[in-house]
Amino acid sequence: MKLFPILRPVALPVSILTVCALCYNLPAAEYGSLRGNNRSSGPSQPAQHQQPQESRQPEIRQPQPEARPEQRPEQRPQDHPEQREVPQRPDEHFQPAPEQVDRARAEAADTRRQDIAPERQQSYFWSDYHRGMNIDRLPGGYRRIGLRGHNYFYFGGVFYDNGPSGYVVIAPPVDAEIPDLPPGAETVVVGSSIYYYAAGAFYLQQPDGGYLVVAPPMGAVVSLLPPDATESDVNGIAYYVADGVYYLPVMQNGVTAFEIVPQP
Amino acid sequence: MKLLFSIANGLLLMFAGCATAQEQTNVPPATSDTVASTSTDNTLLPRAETLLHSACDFLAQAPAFSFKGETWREHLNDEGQKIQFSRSVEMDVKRPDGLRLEISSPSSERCFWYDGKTLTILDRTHNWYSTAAMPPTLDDAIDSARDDYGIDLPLIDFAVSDPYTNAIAKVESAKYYGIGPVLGVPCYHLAFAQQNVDWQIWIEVGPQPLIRKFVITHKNDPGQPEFTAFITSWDLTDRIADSDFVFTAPVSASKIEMRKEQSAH
Repeated sequence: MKLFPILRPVALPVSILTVCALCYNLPAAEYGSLRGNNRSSGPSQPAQHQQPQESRQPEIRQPQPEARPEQRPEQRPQDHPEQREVPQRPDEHFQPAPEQVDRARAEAADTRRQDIAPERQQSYFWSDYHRGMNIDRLPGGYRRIGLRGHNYFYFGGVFYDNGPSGYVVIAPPVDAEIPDLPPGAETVVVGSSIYYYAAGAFYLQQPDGGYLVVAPPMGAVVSLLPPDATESDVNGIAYYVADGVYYLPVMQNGVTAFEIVPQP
Repeated sequence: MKLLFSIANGLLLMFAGCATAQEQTNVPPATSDTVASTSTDNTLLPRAETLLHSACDFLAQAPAFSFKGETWREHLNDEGQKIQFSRSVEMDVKRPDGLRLEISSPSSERCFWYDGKTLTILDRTHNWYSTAAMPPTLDDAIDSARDDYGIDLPLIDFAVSDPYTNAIAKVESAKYYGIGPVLGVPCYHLAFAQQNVDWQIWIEVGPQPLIRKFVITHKNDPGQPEFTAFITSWDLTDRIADSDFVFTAPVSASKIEMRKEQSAH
């Protein structure tokens, strides 16, 4: 007996329902106008009996593997650091599903268009640090990260190495893995990959739930320049350069952002 | 004693009636269309619709207007705390195709121009500007800016050609909450509910039903963050020159590319 004649009447409605389910999983954009918000939502439903205030349940997004995990407070004393040697498996990154990529892209755009990145940045631990900065003691709760036979130190988005008078702030070493994202990490979607960006470093989620420092991906668009980016004029076009990576100013979602581009 | 009690009651009722009548004189009469549009289960109170209609019509009939105000936008930080971020805003509108919107703070200054052909955004902080071709009407340009470029133009509801239709497009219930002050100005307080957002509006009591406060509650998002706007001054004189909507690049300003919104898979 052929199944297709039976399945055909249900295939189209099921596919429509699937698409609708995926659409409704996209986060609601927060515009400062009714017109902007209403164009985000689907067609309005027929007016129902007015619900009492108590029965309205706000939607709580469940943590997704690619979502920013809750920051765990680290209170370990300095003489009890955790040493992790990271095996070199850069190809084994967590692969998000297409709907997760779409959701991340929508959330990133919604945050960007609100244009609050400059103020938010000032609330993060890493915003007070820049490469080459010397400190005499590490912050409480730091982690020791082993990488290629060398020990680095990490706290709150800032990486350190031994320095002449204690420790020195360094650029995040590629392939270093941290258990949690730095505070305020920006979600950046490039193609079908979800990156996280903070203090000039890009991170990719790993299958074990950790986050690996990776090279800046070409085409990434970020809201803030790396801490030590310097302006470079090339053929009359202003670029910014940090660690040999070129950032081109663009207007994205109505605010200035910076795209990683090939060296001009 | 009974006579005195009756007289006192009568006087009280008389004064109560006068107070109600005084309030009523400031409210435009409900039109039959407004009453007819009320749903059968009375979730759209005629008074709220009427007041909103008068405020929206007042804006729609103005050939040009300007206002200044502040916006306060809530955002959840990593710890789930709601943080408010403020901006000063200035908007100039000249119907049918002129818009200038300035959004500023010590950290960020942006200005938007639309002149019937082009949308220009100037990042004053960095002295960069960007342009995009737009449809010829303000309504369509607003939608194109949002749909094609993902741009948020706060308070743009005031500038559309039909503010009332725009406002009630997805409204499911409307309520009236009496009169309250907004920065010292007595205002009618209205509340509207939709599936995607709830919103409230405060409309000045008096011959000019100007909007003084506007709140959008993003009720389906964690923490239900709110967008709040206070309008501190209105100018309804047609003093805006057409040239005010045409962008002139500041000295040494550089042009950057305006990127389109990336679409979902």
